[in-house]
Amino acid sequence: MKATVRKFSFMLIGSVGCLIFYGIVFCVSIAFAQTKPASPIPKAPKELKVALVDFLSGPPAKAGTAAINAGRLFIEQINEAGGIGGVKIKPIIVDEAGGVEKQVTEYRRLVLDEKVDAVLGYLSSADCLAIAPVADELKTLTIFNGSGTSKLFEQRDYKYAFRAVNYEGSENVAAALYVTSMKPDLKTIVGINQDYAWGRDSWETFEHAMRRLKPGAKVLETLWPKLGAVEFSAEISKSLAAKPDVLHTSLWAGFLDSFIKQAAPRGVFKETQVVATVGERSIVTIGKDMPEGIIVGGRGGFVPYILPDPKANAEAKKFYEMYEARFGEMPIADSFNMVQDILAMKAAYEKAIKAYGRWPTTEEVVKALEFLQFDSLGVRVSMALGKGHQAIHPQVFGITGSQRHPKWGFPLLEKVKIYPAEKVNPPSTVKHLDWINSWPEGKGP
Amino acid sequence: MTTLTVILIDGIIFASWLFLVSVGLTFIYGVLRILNVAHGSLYALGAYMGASMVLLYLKTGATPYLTYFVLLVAAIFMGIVAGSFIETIFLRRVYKREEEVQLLLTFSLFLILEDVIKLIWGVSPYFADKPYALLGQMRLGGVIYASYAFLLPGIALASGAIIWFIVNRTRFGKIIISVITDREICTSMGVNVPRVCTFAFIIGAILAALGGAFTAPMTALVPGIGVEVIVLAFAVVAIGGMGSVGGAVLGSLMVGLARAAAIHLFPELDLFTIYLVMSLVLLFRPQGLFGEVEVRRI
Repeated sequence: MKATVRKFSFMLIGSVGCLIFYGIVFCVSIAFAQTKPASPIPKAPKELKVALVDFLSGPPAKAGTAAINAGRLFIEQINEAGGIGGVKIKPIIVDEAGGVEKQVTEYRRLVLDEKVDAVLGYLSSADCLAIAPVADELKTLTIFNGSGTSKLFEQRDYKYAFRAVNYEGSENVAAALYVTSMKPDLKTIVGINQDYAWGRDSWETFEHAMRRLKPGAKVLETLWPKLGAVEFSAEISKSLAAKPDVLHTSLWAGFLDSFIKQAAPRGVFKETQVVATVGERSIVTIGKDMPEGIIVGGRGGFVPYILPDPKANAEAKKFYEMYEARFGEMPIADSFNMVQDILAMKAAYEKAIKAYGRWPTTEEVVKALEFLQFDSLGVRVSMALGKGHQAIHPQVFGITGSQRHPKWGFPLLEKVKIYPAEKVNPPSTVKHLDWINSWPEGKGP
Repeated sequence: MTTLTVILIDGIIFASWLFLVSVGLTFIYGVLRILNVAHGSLYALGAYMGASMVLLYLKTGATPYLTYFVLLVAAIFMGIVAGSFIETIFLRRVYKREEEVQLLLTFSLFLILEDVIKLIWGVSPYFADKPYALLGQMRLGGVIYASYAFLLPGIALASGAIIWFIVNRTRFGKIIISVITDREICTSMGVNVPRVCTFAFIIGAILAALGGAFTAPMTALVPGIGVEVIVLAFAVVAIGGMGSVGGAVLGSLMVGLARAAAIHLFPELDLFTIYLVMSLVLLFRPQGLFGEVEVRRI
């Protein structure tokens, strides 16, 4: 009797246990079924993992944070609209600080451990030159934006590496065109540029362009402060002693801010026409104390409220409003650089999905991105150079004036010129210095 | 002659700045025998605190000429707070440990403090340039200089004089020299060596913060300003000799003048002038100009 009761008890407990177990399995299956991708695209993954890399520490932190903030916000917008081909994007944020070796290691970790599908970003020219070969080695779609060295696609071809934003060639050709139009009687030039790829390339392009546009102009001095230096008193003294008509500088972000703060009380901006090729960030950070009369361009060709223009394009207007509401500050050029990278990636994926009718491989996306044309918040972008890997789009230059932005207080640019992409970039098969050297003497492209 | 004058002026201005950023480092090494990598963070903290206090002070509408005093107060305050915290909580535990451990600790502190600075002050550039612009300009050697730049040699001289006075003319200075010479004997003779070390570290921290505070009006304060300073400070200290304030003076002058000459005469050499000077000095005198050869005690 006791044995029968014990046996019955075990059977009851076992049955109840099985019911509970199957119930749990059933619920988990239902939950799992809910998380399956809703994408109707065959072979679509659960999510698209994209790394966003930019400086979150160190002197460029302001620029990098603006880029990452914009990237996150824009990806949220894309995901809310259904993602790319129904697949949501998962951003993974990485700090670009720490040097080239660290970034290469970090890139490998992103691809091999985190298994990202694409890597976007990189502000430093030194980093992009090191990462591009690794992108080809690991066969991972990599789209640069902030770094501007012309060496990237003019010295070597890459398959998986792209840059979806203007490079220094466009900026410095536009700078030369602008300054010669503003100061046609200029005769002497001094250059103050940081001694690394970005500074060297920027000066080289500007100098070549000026030699064609103003054959009689003389370069008095070229000065090469170290990347990282924030004390420029000797360079400023040298420049004041030389008394040039034009001073070209590709100093950027906090370095340019320091230069402007040290130079202004010494009368540099009264004695010389300064051309800050990527001075847009400084008009925002220095704000109302920014001296008047400085020729300023934006990294990648962007200057807030001019290009992209919120008055001319509804998407741009929406982005400005969302960014300002979320972060309590205005977007800067670096914000648009990152957005443009994301749009390039999106356009390439969508083109490949349409061509193949299924989720594409990385090689198919890469092929779709080559020579692609797409819209970026009202800016028409064409991947025209570097065998389809380097973007070209319009370039903005202006001169700091006395009027202030009604909301943010930074000085508005006057005498704004927006140079069409074809005006400041070579044909696709020609290196930019060769193109500059082919200009008729005394005339531009 | 004009170029020579400008090289001399630029060289002295840069040398003054170099001295301000490196004297704290060499003083701490001289007393505590610790290579303080966090020196760069103390400099940055002094800069940010100086800028913040100047901006706060200016909002009161009081006379802007007192901002120089505000910068001094900010440096002393930050030196005392940060210096005492770092020394009592962290460094005191590693005096008897290997140099590698000490280096790792101070490097870790540096990394932590860099992020602390970002947490407190954010990543946007800070500007407190009123003190820089206030003193106007002067023309020397045919070139306009901001008069503020000539404050730096004055502050550097005053710092050096105060250190010299403390070490050579005060009872505390005699105790410091004794502690440097032999800690064990000092302890046995009733000297409170830990307290002496704390005070010495605070003095070094104040000097570092002073360098930062008086540089703040000249630059845009951004995260990472301490990194560049560590490299320069180490180079100057290596040239002058670890632990020698006089060596820091001479090292700063040599580097400042060499860099100014390079910029005016051979700009391509600007990038590595300081390292060229360091290499040449260390080639012939590995312990630095005024450094002492370490004698091994048995």
